Amino acid sequence: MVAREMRRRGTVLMAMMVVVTAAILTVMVQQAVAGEPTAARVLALSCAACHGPGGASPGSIPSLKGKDPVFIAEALRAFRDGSRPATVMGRIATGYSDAEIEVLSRQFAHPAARQ
Amino acid sequence: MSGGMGNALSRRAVGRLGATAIAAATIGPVRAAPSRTVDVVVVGGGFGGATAARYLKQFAPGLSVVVVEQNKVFHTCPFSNLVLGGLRRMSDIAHGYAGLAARGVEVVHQRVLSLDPERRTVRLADDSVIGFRKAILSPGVDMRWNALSGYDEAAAQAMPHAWKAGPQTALLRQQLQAMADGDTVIIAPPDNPFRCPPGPYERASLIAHWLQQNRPRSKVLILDAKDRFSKQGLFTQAWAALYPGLIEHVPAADDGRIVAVDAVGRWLETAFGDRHSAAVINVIPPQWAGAIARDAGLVNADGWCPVGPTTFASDMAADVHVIGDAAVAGQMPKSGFSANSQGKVAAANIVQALAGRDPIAGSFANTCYSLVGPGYGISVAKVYRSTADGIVGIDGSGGLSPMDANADVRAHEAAFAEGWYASITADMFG
Ligand SMILES: Cc1cc2nc3c(=O)[nH]c(=O)nc-3n(C[C@H](O)[C@H](O)[C@H](O)COP(=O)(O)OP(=O)(O)OC[C@H]3O[C@@H](n4cnc5c(N)ncnc54)[C@H](O)[C@@H]3O)c2cc1C
Ligand code: HEC
Repeated sequence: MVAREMRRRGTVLMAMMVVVTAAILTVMVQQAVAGEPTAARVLALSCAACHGPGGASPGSIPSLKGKDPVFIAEALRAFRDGSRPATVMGRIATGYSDAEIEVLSRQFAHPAARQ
Repeated sequence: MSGGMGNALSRRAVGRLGATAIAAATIGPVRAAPSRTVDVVVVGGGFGGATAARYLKQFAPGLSVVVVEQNKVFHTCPFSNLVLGGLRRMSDIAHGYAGLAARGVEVVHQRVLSLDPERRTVRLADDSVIGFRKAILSPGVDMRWNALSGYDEAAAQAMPHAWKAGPQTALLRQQLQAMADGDTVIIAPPDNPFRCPPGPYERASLIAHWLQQNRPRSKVLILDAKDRFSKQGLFTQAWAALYPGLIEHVPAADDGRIVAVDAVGRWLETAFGDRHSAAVINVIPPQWAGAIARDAGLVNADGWCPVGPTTFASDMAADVHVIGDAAVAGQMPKSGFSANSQGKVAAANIVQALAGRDPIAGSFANTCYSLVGPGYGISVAKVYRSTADGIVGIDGSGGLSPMDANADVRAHEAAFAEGWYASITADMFG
């Protein structure tokens, strides 16, 4: 009982931390001049080697550009916990926390939807 | 220099007079002042350098960025093993620099002869001197001639390394096409660290594929300086399935390590004195950072460049950053993917520094796809971060393709390997 309670409290706390971190990063993105480096942008830089520059893939790997942040975040969580089968994304998604997934998910949306 | 003679002298006149005559006629230092100073000079337009230049312009369009690259056409090492296996042509792995130029990057096709960290200048082969506020070096590797006794530049014409793509790839391909059925191909990979740890074994696979189709009685013999190699379980399983009896791997423990080479006599000698000969011999020698980094004093005792894990600033010189194969990038392997990932983080932090802002901790990834045969791909992946302890892999991330996977999974990975190639080359040159 106690253990479960603590776990639940831990989850709530983590969820709060996620929201706070995401909010901080969102503010950073909003304040940034177009193009200039931000923590959020740097986090998403490595995805382009497979998904193409800006998430626009010229080849067989799916594009991320313009995709709904909710879809991207859900996909990353599902890759991470193994519920969505993948060749390589399971091994990539396990490198990111919940907060980072929230941030990543916004990086490929149309500029207006990024905030 | 009297009466501005240095500037007035034509290069042809310099050639006639000779360097000694000029030096004798010169009062004061010969070192020319830079003809111009730019924000960032990037030395080398390969996986690290081309990426860094593109992202510098993306982050800060106002910066003046010059890439100095000795070749007009860049042949990627990735997929050069497919050329050896007859699955791609040389033109499929060739890339030009028009895309970078269109993004406002100035590309100068010259060799950089020297870098002066104190004066913050680079000197090019045409004797021009460019000053910089920041320099990024991504010169890749050089072969360490004679580290393997007898393996020098001349020997590489008889026994190609093909570890830089281009003429060496074409030479090895020609030798394969010229060999008779029943002849052996030897591949001799070096000890760690070296460029692209799974590369020699992808090469063995794709050469075996070509032999199977074209020289069915021939074999591949790998004489290895190591006991274990990257993705070994996956490669071994694939070889048993695709090329039974065609590839033999001799580890160092079984006297696989080559210590001497005779290019004229065409033999290799192992640590215990065994001699091997073959129609085609691919020696992949020990490597170190490209000459420009070594000559500028940016390397450690092993010939690689120690750098900071966030900005890639050299430990040896201010305002000089080293990325890619030449750098010691913590736990990251020497790969094109790593160089691309580092190039972006270095670009971001150079933009930060030039704008007087704090550095941003890096997030990196690497995935090395290997094609073992047509429609048969495997990979190893990991996510990395800049930390106080250097660049470290994230626990729980990454790993290998599964063993015993079905043909569908291997086929998907082969297709995604092609997708990766299309994406990363667009990210560099597009
Ligand atoms: C057979 C093979 C297969 C590979 N396969 C893969 C793969 O599938 N995936 C992967 O991620 N990696 C792969 N790699 C590794 C990859 O090629 C390297 O890790 C990558 O090229 C490193 O990038 P870099 O920028 O450090 O050097 P490079 O890409 O080699 O670029 C260096 C550039 O600098 C230029 N240069 C050097 N010195 C000077 C100078 N003084 N003046 C002017 N120009 C200069 C060179 O001409 C060159 O264009 C493979 C390597 C090999 C050999
Ligand atoms: C090594 C190449 C590689 C890297 C790096 C990579 N991806 Fe992927 N991604 C893939 C592949 C391949 C797929 C298809 C699923 C699979 O087989 O893994 C995919 C699928 C996805 C999908 C699902 C897309 C859809 O339309 O269904 C999302 C979302 C995604 N990746 C996000 C990311 C993000 C964000 C990053 C950077 C943190 C990233 N990926 C880095 C290769 C990569």
